[in-house]
Amino acid sequence: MSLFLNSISLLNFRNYLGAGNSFNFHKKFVFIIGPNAIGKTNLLEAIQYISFGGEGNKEREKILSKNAEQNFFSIEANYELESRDCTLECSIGETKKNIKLNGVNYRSLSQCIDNLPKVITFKSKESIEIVRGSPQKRREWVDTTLTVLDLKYANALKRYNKALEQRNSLLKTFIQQKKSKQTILHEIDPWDIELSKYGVYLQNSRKQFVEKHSAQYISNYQIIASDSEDKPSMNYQPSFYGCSDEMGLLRQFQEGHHIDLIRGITNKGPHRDDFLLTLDDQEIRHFASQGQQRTSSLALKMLQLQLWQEQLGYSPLLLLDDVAAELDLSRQKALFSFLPTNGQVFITTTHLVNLPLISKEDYQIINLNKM
Amino acid sequence: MDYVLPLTELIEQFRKLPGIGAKSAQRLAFQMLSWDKKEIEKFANSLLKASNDIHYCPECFNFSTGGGVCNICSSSKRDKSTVCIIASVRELATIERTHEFKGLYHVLHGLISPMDGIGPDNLKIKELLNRLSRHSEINEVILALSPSTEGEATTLYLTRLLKPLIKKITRLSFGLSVGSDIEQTDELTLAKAFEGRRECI
Ligand SMILES: [Zn+2]
Repeated sequence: MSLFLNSISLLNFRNYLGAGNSFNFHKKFVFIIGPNAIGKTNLLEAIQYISFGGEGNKEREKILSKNAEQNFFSIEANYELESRDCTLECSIGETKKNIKLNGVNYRSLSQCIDNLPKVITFKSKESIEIVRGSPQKRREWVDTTLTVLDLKYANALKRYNKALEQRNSLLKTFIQQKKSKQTILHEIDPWDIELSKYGVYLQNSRKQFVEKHSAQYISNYQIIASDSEDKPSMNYQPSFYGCSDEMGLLRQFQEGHHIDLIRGITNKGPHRDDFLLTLDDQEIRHFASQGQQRTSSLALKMLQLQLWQEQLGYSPLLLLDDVAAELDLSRQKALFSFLPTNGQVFITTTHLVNLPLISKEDYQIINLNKM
Repeated sequence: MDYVLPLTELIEQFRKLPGIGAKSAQRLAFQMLSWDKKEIEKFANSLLKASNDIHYCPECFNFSTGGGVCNICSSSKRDKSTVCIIASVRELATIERTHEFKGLYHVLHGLISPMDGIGPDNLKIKELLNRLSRHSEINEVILALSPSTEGEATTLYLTRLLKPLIKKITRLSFGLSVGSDIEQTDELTLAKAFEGRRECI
């Protein structure tokens, strides 16, 4: 196996106060059991914290221990990544951050992303937001997925977001009456060009992504909802229509100057793209049942798993949070049929139910109740 | 525990320096207190002397002493028809070490960055335009700014601005990974970047 998490030790992370919270993992399937509120999800979040790809990781560097008396926490993880033993130590305080990977210091976790474990999380309650939530949730999912598939995409996204932040700061000086309209129109040009240069790459990659992979999403959906006749589809809805080159995007950014100045923000562009998910031509977001939305979100996560596996040559860690409570039996069965044969899977649950598909020597149980 | 007032004040002075936290400031202050009186005087004097004697070169905004232009601007060995535009004096030193560039410099003292409140007016751009109008012998401008987002934007801005004034505007061609800084670039790569500079469009 090319990615295997051997152990994780927590100090003051969420409800894991003090030292002595060490967990060793030595099987493919790790069941984390215990009653509600004992810290099952927090353990998964610790794994997510030191990995790339989990939900809510954007804010990860800001998360602090929920215990007010503790103003720092630390996580130490040992894992094997492409036959290399890795030790990641990170301690995060209010004013200080220490990240050390194999003895080398880094300023942030995002600086050593290539050497972090890749992770895919499925939390029934939160993952459904990819389907049900704002366009931002779907963009984030596509961006995260593509970041692993295409290094150039990851770079273009970083550059685009930086230029966007700068352009918005410039526009804000007009609202704050620090600069005249004329000055801003004179100074906005370089940002328009930067945004177009990287935005066109984002746009074309997203378009290709949907063209190439929507069939697999549909097939995943149909496997999970085996008994339904739903006809799902996925379409790219770019904020800028009808342009596919740098000049075209530049023109659209320029056409937006007037309204951008009024609102003090960049109103249109790839940062406002959406991905339209439908069932029988109706938007899942508004018209589908919760069960259908759940199926759709699971189908997306499984697509991410398939694509990453193909790209990386190994399976990312899979974190399944309380899926037994939220998915019915047939969906659970379908979910297990997607699980990689050579990857590590962490599953939280309140009760260990019958798991006919997993043989005894393949799993271990961590009972938080007994700790 | 509180220290005596002069010590507290000394620690506070050290804390003003970048990268110096409370603990380092304390360590530095204690260290200096153990110095010889003579050494302390030498230290304080060189600080004062540097601050008194060093000023910006009125032509290129490099550091200079003695009230006039800097030693590069006044050198007869430099090619006065080419001006290399850089963000800070630190980069000037790096480029000088390559021995690849024989022209003059112009230091902007920063890059355009609206989120930090830095616009073209906060940089030595007006001074650049003024300099170009006074020196008609300048016929090539090389933009040697970092390939970061802000460096790119400043390059684009200056290209537009200088196009009507200067015949040849070039920029360094970085075979470097995007995001790297000139300061951190090794001399050979930087020398090559000068050699392979390309015209701005
Ligand atoms: Zn000078």
